[in-house]
Amino acid sequence: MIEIKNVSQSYVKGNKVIDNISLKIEDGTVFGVIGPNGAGKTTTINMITGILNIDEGDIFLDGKSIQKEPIEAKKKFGYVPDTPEIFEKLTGLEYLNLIGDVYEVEAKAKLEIINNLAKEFGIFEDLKDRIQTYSHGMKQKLLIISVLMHNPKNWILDEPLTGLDPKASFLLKQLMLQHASKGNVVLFSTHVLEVAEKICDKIAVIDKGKLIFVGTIQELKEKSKTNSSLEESFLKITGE
Amino acid sequence: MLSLTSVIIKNSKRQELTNTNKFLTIFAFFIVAGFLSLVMVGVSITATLRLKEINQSYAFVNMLFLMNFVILFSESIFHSLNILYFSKDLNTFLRMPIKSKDLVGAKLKDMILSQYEMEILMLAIPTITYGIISKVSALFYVYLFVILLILPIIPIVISTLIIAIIMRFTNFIKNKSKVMYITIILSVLLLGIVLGGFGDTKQDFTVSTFEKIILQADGLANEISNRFILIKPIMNTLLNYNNNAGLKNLLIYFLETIIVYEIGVSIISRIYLKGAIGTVINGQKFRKKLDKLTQIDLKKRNKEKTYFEKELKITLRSPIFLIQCILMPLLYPVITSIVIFAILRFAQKVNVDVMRDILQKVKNGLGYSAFLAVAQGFFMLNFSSIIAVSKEGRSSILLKTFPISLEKQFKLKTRIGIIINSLSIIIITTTYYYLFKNFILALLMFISLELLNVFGEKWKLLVDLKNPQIKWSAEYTMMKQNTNVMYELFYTILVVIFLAFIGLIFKTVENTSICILCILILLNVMMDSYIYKNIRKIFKNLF
Repeated sequence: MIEIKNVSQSYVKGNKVIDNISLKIEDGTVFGVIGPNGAGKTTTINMITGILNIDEGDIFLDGKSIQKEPIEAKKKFGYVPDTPEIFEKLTGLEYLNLIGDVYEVEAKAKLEIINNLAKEFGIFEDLKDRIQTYSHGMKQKLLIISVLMHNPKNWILDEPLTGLDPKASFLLKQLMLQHASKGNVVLFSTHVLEVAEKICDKIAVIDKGKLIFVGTIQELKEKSKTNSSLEESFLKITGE
Repeated sequence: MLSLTSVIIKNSKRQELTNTNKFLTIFAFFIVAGFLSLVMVGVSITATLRLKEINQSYAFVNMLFLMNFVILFSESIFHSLNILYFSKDLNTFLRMPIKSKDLVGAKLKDMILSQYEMEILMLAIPTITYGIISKVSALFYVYLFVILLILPIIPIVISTLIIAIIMRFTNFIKNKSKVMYITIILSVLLLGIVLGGFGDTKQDFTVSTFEKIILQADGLANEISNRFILIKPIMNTLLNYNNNAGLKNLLIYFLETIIVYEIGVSIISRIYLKGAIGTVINGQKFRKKLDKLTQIDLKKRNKEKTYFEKELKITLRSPIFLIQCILMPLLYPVITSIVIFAILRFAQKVNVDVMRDILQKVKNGLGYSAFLAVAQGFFMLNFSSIIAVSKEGRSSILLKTFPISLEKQFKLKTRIGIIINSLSIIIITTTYYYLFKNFILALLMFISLELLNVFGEKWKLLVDLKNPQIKWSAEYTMMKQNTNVMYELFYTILVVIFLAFIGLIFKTVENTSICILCILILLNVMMDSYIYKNIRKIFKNLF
């Protein structure tokens, strides 16, 4: 479970990029964060993962505060950033080993995950190459495998489908649904409303740093008084 | 063509600094530049006056130009490789309808302009100091100005030409690091051949020939210029500034420069595109395919050990990081020791007892401080900690998500720097013990230097975290434009002043050593306490 309590954040004094957001993401949910460019989606995710310090409020991952118990909280999630920038001088295998060791994963578990997922994603043969030679999509796939390595309860993915080929994109969506169905949380941000519409149990709409909607897609349509697509409801609610 | 040059120059100079950091950087720049200028003036006055005593003062100018010419050549190898082949802007420029000659010309101009800052410090200030002492006329300064303007052109064009030839024929290798290593090694070899080819090495340099040379007025200067005929016209211009030979030599060098530039640019632009296109295509031609994985390949290890290994691999696998963080700080103290040893041996050969003078001068508190200051000078050349976060670029975003405490990560990131600096500490301490045969003092020096080392590396990492340079497109650009490096120099100035002050106040070696040790222990405790209390704030600027 991820709980965001009255969180605010500003890069410049007096100019809040996130304004008093409160949110509770229950276990067993695929939760999508949508919003226009610069709305505060990545900032919110960066605060949840401890990348950004929080000015006001607190965030809890399975009851552990990211501010007060950062190490324990960080063990509770796996994170994929919006740009797949990984330690490029390492090989894919070295990177997976690094992540495995950092999260204290046993060799057997690592082997199982890598054998299954790297083959499924089609990057197994490339694992001995340096990451600097990988394409955007390959880096994204490597990051996804690394996140699954320590089997975290909460997956936090920032634009995870960008750059993935259709097969990998389909596979990731299946994995997200499976993970949530086992009573875990999948939190992800996206620009692609069709994806949100297809796989999200709930969505949050953030605009100008404010949380303007939380609920199911049906509830959003009702609120925006449209019966058509999520796209139309989104545009209406964000006033674009 | 002009607008293309200005775009490339603006792009290469662009920096992302906050107003506070801008102010601090400008402040540190002026302090560092002022201090270095004073040092250069001091060194120039001493060298010129000493050489003047034996009628060889002009040799100082020749040595300066020779040293700078060699530095320019070697620096240009790296610079041209990165600016012309591994710069991110190539992805944009290669798609545009720009002539190869225009692109090469614009990039060369960017490289030439970037050398002027170094020239002011390393050449202009010492040569002007020489001019003032030697009471030269205004014409000397006019010639000097023209020379400084055209001096970087030949080394840059020749280095770039060599690089372009190598890149043209190695563009089948897509591994950037491999290409860099191969190119640099081949370039240094070719450069040696080029410089050697221009040099007259028929005459052997022995003690008797040395005596003959210094008996003639400006004999040493003539000897240097005769051995390096490529820059002979520059040397002769300033030596004969007050007669026609000066102007004649300036014109010769000017012509040499124009010919080298025109021919160089013409050849480079013909072979440039194939090499450049080769580098922008990602991926290796020959991949090491992974067939099978076993549990041995994925053996669980201590997370701190793995983290440190990651730090080491990132440093070792990038040529520029390897040079600046490992090779330079290891080689510099060794080379300096060899040179000093050779000078002492030479002095012994010509019956000058330098050792006795040195021993007498350093057998006090100030001498003890001087040893520590030399070590600090070597520490300054180690860039491991000042780029410990920046070297990871945008991937450093992941550091904050690792379940390893930030305090622990902070310590692990300074480890390479601390280990590498230990070689300097061993050399300095051993030398001190060899000179004074006092084990206790040598031990105190060793402990003090280790404390100074640990404190300094932590300070460097704090600077990097205050203003991390993570948005770079190429490792070399990050190193070249990293203004944080200036703080290393600034810090060294402060340490040297502090050590000199303690040495002067306490006078005796015993008192100075104990006082320095106590202060360093206190500083380390304060530093650790600051890091522990403010760790989240310290990492705040990283994303």
